[in-house]
Amino acid sequence: MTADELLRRSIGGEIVAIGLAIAAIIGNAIWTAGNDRRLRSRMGTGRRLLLAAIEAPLADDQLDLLQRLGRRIQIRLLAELAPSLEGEQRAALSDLADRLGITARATTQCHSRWWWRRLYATRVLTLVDAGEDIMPALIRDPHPLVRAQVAEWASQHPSPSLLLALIALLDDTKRIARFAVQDTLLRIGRPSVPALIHALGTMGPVGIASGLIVAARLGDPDLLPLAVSFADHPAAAVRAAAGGVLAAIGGDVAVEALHRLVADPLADVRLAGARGLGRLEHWPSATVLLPLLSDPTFPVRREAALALTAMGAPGSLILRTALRGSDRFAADIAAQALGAERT
Amino acid sequence: MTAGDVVRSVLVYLDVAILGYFLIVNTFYATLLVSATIEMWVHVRQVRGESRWRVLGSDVAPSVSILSPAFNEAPTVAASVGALLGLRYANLEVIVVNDGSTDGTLAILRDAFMLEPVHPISDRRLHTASIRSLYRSKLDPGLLVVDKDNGGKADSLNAALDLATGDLVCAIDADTLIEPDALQRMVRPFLLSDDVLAAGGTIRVANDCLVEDGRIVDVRVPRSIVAGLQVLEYMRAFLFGRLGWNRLGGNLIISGAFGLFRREAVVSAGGYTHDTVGEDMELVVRLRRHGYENGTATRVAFIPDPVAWTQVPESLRVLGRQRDRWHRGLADTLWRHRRLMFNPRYGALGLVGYPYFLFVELFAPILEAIGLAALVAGFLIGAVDLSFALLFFSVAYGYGLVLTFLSMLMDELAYRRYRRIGDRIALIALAFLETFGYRQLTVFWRLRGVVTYLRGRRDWGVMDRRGFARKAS
Repeated sequence: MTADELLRRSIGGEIVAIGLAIAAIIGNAIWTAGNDRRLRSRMGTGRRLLLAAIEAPLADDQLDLLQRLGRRIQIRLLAELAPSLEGEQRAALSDLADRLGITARATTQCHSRWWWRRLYATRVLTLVDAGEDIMPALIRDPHPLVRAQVAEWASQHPSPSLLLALIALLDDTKRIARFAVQDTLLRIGRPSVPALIHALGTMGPVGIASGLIVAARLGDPDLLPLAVSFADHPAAAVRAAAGGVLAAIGGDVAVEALHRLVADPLADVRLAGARGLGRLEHWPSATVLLPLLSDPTFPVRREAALALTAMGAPGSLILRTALRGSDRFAADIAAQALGAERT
Repeated sequence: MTAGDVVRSVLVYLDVAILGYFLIVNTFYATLLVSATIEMWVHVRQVRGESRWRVLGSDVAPSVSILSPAFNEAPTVAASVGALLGLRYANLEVIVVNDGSTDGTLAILRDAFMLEPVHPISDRRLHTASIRSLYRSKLDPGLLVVDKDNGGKADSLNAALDLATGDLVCAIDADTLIEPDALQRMVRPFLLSDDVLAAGGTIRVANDCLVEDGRIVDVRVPRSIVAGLQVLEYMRAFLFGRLGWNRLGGNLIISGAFGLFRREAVVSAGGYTHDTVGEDMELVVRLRRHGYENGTATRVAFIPDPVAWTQVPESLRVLGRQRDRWHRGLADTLWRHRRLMFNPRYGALGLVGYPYFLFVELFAPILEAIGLAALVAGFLIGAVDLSFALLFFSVAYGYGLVLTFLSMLMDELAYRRYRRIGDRIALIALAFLETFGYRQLTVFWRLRGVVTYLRGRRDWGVMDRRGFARKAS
């Protein structure tokens, strides 16, 4: 084949590709324009039926009508309505999904070898609040998005065994899974505390630090002994995270542990200690923070200054002492903090 | 051998060289196209049926600081800031930097958001023009306003970075509208991988789209042909180019209009560079380079979802200046980071990304201009067979057209933002105009950028802005 021929064939190929692309774009535009109109009408019908379904079970003819709308529209309608329902109405919606065969199909797809099918199936089961038989097993799915989705589902199904499995994911290698678990534990709230206490004692540093972030937001007093013990943990990330929990709970024992953190050799831990004392506005600790105004790292100095500001008059006194002192770092941060205080 | 023979030989060798270049570049484009298609396929499956309200309402979602420089933006600043505060994200902080405006921008902000002076403690890790005062809004404590002496966009962004407290920072341009759920989408790559340093999304052309309360409510193809041509350019650059680079690991650009970065990484790397016109690209390259050198995060993720809308130039004069500046920025960044070239220490960045941007993006206009000149010269002295040359250039430009149409198709199937059939037909017509006429103009502008860079020009040039079309009440 000569070069000319090759080029001519290439042009021919390009013309065909362009023609096909244009046909596909225009064809899709025409099809979707028509489909949009049909969709609007079918969505309207579907919405009416769904609203009727949450009041009372649908009659067979109504169910047939809903069935004829197609699976995609049914799921779209459920996705619209489900987030704003709870209790009996949500249960009615789950029942409807079951009658429409959505739950059964999603359950089957949970066994798929393809992650995207399992992911979509778990999302559908979360939406319709079903899947008690299959979802707990997927908490160990190889794909992180599936694990994260199961964690989201678990917030509505917090059984003790599932909670333990969830907490085990706090040291998951993928952040999306850790994030989903943290979020779920926060949504579950206080009922997750016993499982958290039980599981954190046996986990590695990543899992513990991740769990302590949840514990700090829960602020449950039952977590205090755990937080105090983690304030002496060999891993700095754990000690720093423990500071957050101690600050959320407060009390003499917590303050004592925070004092240990303030004297820690690592900056992040000292910072957490200072932040904790500031959050508690524990003015008797003002003198403990004085040395931190001369800390070699700026974030620690800033946190100490902010904590002293939060402590009111005793803190201001310490800041003024630092302002007149010989340490220029302490004087600088004190000046900035006192400027902030004057506003 | 006569002088004519020498010229003929040179032209023949030049033709062969350009043919080789063309083959290599197009093979790479094909690879990018395959990569972009796979990425889109995976992305569509990852987000199918997803409910983003979880990130929206979560206490443990990463906090985000939006950095918005403003210089003489009095007519639009209140609406823009209002729209930023209205973004759907839980842990959000907005830092507006009044960069020495002389038109009352600060007074408008003060009135609209009930600002009161504050004194946050900062170690000023990034040096900027002098800061006059700081204000926090009484209406929304998430709004911090920095009033400073004029120092330019990079300087303003650095001032905001110094005060930002979010895990992630998002730099935006004043003439950009952000989709309400853009942050929820953009945070996702950071949740999916710890190795992500920065994330960008698709930027769309906002000219002639209808805007209501800072949101695009009706997407239209611009009436201006110049702006319309840029719709296609943006579509191709984002959906085919940057998406394709996701898998190949060589993404070097996050649009200055809207990008999300790890704050600590940006501050540690020294923030934005003042003395370049391509500060967006320079920052990304520097961040990635630092990541490789320090063994920290190195990946730049791109999500194909449309996240922001921007006004593009509508006159050839202004567009020419913009492209000239972009190309100078590219040249400057590549020169500053020349150590990356084929350096295995920098992984895909040094071995694939950098060489591509040098040989394809920077040199392409030079080679295209040489090719066109050689064609004319060769034809005039009878050294080039005209029919072969025409066939060759038809294949070259036709390939570009194929890529444009495939990007349009990808957009049509995945997003379908242009819903009128007339808009699609207009885009198809514009695609032909872009290939035969507009593209040659951009070659000229980019070539001019190389020349002006070599002559040491570093200024931005004047950019006119038209404002958004508001929906009639």
